[in-house]
Parts: sequence; structure tokens; C-alpha cells
Amino acid sequence: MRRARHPSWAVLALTGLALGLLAGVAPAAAATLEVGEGKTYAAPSAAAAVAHDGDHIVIAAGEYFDCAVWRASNLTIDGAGPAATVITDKTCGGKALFVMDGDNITVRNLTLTRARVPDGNGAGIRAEGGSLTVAHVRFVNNQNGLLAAPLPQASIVVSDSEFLRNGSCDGGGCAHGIYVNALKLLRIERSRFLETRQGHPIKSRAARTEVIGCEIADGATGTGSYSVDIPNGGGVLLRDSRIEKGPRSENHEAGLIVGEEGVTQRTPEIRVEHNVFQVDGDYPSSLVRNLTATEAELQGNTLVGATARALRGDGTVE
Amino acid sequence: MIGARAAVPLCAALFAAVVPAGAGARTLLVGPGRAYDRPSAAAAVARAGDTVLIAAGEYFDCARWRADGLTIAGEVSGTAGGQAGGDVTLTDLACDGKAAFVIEGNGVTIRHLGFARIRVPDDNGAGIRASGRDLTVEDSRFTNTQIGILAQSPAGGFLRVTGCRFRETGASLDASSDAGPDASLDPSPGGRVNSAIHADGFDLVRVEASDFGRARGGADMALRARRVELVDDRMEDAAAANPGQPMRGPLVMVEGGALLLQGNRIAIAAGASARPGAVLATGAASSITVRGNVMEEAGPLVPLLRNWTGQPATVEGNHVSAGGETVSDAGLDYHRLRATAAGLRDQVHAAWSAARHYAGIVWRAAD
Repeated sequence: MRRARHPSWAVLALTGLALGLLAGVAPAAAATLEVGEGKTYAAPSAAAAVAHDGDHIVIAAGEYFDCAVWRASNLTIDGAGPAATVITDKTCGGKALFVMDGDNITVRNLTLTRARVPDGNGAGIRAEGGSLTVAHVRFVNNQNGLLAAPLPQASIVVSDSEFLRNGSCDGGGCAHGIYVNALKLLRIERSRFLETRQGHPIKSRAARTEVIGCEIADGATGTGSYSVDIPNGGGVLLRDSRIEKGPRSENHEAGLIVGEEGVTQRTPEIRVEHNVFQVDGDYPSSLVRNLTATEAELQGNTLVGATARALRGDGTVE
Repeated sequence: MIGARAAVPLCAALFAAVVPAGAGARTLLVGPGRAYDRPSAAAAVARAGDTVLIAAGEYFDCARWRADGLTIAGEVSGTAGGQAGGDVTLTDLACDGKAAFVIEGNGVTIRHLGFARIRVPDDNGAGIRASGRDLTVEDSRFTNTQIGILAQSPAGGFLRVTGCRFRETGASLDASSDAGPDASLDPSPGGRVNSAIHADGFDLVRVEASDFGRARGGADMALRARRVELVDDRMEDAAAANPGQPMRGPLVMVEGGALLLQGNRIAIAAGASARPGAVLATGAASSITVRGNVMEEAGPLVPLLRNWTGQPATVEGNHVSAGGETVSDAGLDYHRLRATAAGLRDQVHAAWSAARHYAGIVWRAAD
């Protein structure tokens, strides 16, 4: 057996030199940009204007009547907590409170609220640059909570977030809690969608959509449509979630519906496991309405309410 | 004959991607690494008289064929020769919310293709949806589509279906929407057609040596034409195969002039006694011939043909269960009464609408 050779001093010196050169050529190392009263940047938009790839933006507690277009990539944008840092009312580009033009951005620990624009698509976040991670964010009373442009190579992951009273069908089309178009993956974990208005709590044209450990409820006053709308097919995993359709739901037919606008992409699987489906209205409704030729696989779901049923369309119920 | 025609383009394929042939007609080669990677790419450029040859494989694609006189064929490997559908399958995608192939041209021939898993929101998702005349479909396979072939000709001509296989068509969302004993050729109030082959407006519809099985509700055929010929077909009542979605109406509904039922083999499952017949003929027939058919059933359940046309049938050499009927016209008077009532209702409705319309004009004129 041959002994591994240790690198020579010459190699180490060259490596060090190369690293030094790289550091000199690359833009300034990732910085932390402080936002808030008395900080370097008074409002998120001021930080967004100068942020470079990889920067960490920290937004102090406070209410910001502001909107921002985040053009750099690999940003992390942190509030002081969903109840403490609130971005409200103002939209950029007629689109959203936060417009994400960069790729691979993370947003955490803040509230985005009251986005309204004339075309009806005002959003808490508009994703149009690439992948996005959202954690511990509250979306309250926007037209769309989170709206994504077609990004077929990107992924959007939302966790531990709350979508409250988003949605509207006033603008010609409808706005929804989360509305993503072409996308590689939409994953939503441990999040709550409450009292959605007219639109769908979740509408996804992603190649794959995963909803895990979520609560999606109309409650007594919500007027939401299908709880999860997968209009063009695509893989679906709905697991460990609670879906409640209320007495004022504006679309009684189903909790999860797949293919309702016509199948345009492959649907490798539709798995619906260990959910609770509760119908609080006096209308029949199905946990799953499957309009694709891919058999839905339902396993271990609990139905609550005399008019709740498991499945319409192709598939199996265990 | 079919083999010889297919051999010419196959040889040409060895030399070039697009081969000039005849007066401008070309052969377009479709497949991975070829001039057109999928059928829709060839459809976008196909001109009258072109032949489109599709390499073996599964295509997540749909296509709209506008040109006349096209031949669209799947390539058949040595071992698959003669097998319905060969090795080419179009799956999942419907164009215009209608079908995998939407055929708008006249004189189109489809050969050795498979169509699968077509679903559209109005439930009329088909393998082939045709709005031209003179359509030929040979040795093709339709699996788990809502409809196999939906063809409506505005100007007569023919539909010929030969050597095709239909499986799991119907794809009912609710069995309750299936045609009942009073089945009609026309779409349901919701616009749903619901049969493996639905054809309307042709001079001739001939379905030959084709095989219908495991339907998921609906009918095998609903045909309206001046002449209908069903020859050497095989139909299996799907009640046993799909207990949740039984076929409850007739397997075949025919309305039109001349009807020929010859050499067909029809298997009827138990529990089918509510339907009027394996085949139901309505409308004004000019001639009916029922010859050399075999019906297999668990006891005498239904007649092979329920004839509600009033035209006497020529019946020769058929085989039905002991005590069973080949042709029955029982219920004809009741059917006519209902048809007359429906006609009267429509006339009264039209008269009432017209009266309201003119009353409105008079009212406005008086203002």
C-alpha cells in the first residue's frame, strides 16, 4: 500500500495566492445591510438598491410603507419576526411589495400585507428571477399572497408561513393565496391558508407540487374556491394536511382538483395521504377531483362531514 | 397491400430526412434525432399529399393536421407487423381541448398509431377528432381515452375504420351519465358524446375487423350515416370487466339509411337485460341486413338488434342463445310515440319562441 503524499509547500503557497487573487477580483464579500430607523438604510427599498449577490439584509422591527425590487441573487432577507417587521400597502412596478428579480433568494420572519394594484394581481411577493425560499412569513390581505412568473427551472419552497385573507376575483382573472406558473417544484410545508377570498388558497402549474403538514381552511367567512388547484396536471403530493371547505366556499366541488383546465404536462403521480378533509357546508365535495388519466392514490385520509367524499375520477382509495 | 404502401416511404427514409416524392408530396420523418422531433412539428409544415412517418416511441404530444390527403403512419418493426398500433403511442396531450390528433383536412389516412390517456374538461377527449371527409384509420389502438374517434363530416364522404383496437374508452366520471335504455346518438345535455367511435354526417361509415373491449361506460359506437357497415368486429360488453362503470345502453347505436351487420361477434355479460339490444337502430332505414353474426350471452338477455326503424330486416345465418332473438322490433310504437312527442315539443317550443320574438317587435314598434 502506498502512502498518500502530503501536498508540498509550493502547492500550498500557490493555492493561497490563487485564493487571494479570487478574493480581490470578486465583488466585495457578502455584506450585512441593516434596515430600519437609525440604521444605514431607512427602508427595504434603500437596501435593495445597493444589495449585491450574497448579501444578508436585516430589517428591524417596524412598519414600512415601502416596496422593493430585489435584483441581486443569493440574498437572505430577514425581518425581526412576523409580528414585528411589517411591509405594507406600496407596490413596485404595479406588481408587489417585494419583487424578486434575483435567483435563489430567501425571505424570512416578516409580514407582507395590503398589496393592491389595478390589474388585480397585487402580491406580497412576485417571484420572477428564479428560485425562492420563504419561511416564517405572513401574507395578509393581499390580492395574491405569492405570485410567480413562469420559471421552469426554478423551485419555490414555503415553510412555516401563514396566508390570511388573500385572494380576489375582482380584476378580471382571479388572484390566489399562492399562484405559481411553470416551475420545477413548489413545496409548501407547515403553513396555514385561512379565509381565502374567492380564489384558490394554492394554485400551481408546477411540474411537481408538494403540500405537507398544512392547514387550508375557509372557516365561517372564507369564500375560497378549490383548496389546491393543479389546473394542468403535474405530479402532486398532498400529505398530513387538514383541508376544510366552509359554508361560503364559492366552488364546492373539491379540495384538490387536478387537470381542470386541461392536461398540458406529465402527471407522474397523484398521492394524497393521511389528510383530514372536512366539509362544513351542506353540499357534496370530494377530497380529490381527478380529471387526468393518472390514477390518484388516496391512503389513510379522514373524511369529516356528511357530504364529504374521497374521490371523483380515476384512482384508488385505501 | 398495406405493407407494400408502407415499404416505399420506409426505403426512402434511408436516404434523406425529407424525400421529394411525386408532385411536391414529401415524406416527413418524425422521431428523436430526425427532421421533426415530434408529430406536432411535422404537422406545422405538412402539405397536401405528404406522408408522415413516425418512429417507434412514446410522444407526449398532440397535433393539428390541416392539409388534405395526408398519410400519417407509425413505423412498424419487423415483429410488430400486423399488430394494432405498432410501437408508436401519443399520450396525455390534447390539442384545442379536443384530441391527440385534430384532423381538419379531407382524405387523411392514419395507420399503425396508438393513442392513450386523453382527458379534457368537457369529457370529449378523443384519440382522433376529425372534421373533414374521407378519413381512414387502420391498425391503430385507442386506450384509456374518453373517446376513440369523434368524426363529424360537414359534407358526407366516408369514415373507414379497419383493424383497430379500443380499450378502456369511456373513462366515465360518473356512471350515472351513461346512456340508458333510451340511448340517443346525440350528445348528452352536457354535450358529452361518450362512445368509442362517434360519427355523424357521412355517406358511409364502415368499421371492420376492429375490437372493442373493457369500455368504461358509454357505447362502442354511435353512428349516423347514409350507410353503416359493421363487418367482422368484436365487441365485449364491459359490465364484467368494470363493475363500477357498466355499459347500460346498447353497445352500438345506428341511425340512417342502410345498415349491414355481418360477421360480428358480440359478448353480452349477465345483468344486461335492461338494454334494448346489443345494437339499436332508429330513424328511417332503407335496408337492414343482419348476417352471420354470433352473440355470446349468459342466457337469452337481449336481442342482437333492436329495430325501431320500421324497415324489415334481412336476417341470415346468425347465432344467438337458445330462446334468444336476433331481431326484435318490440317497443317500436312506444319509441315512435316518444319521438313524435319530442318533435311536437320542439315545434311548440320553436313556435312559442317565434311568437315572443314577433310580439317583442310589435311591442317596440308600438312604443
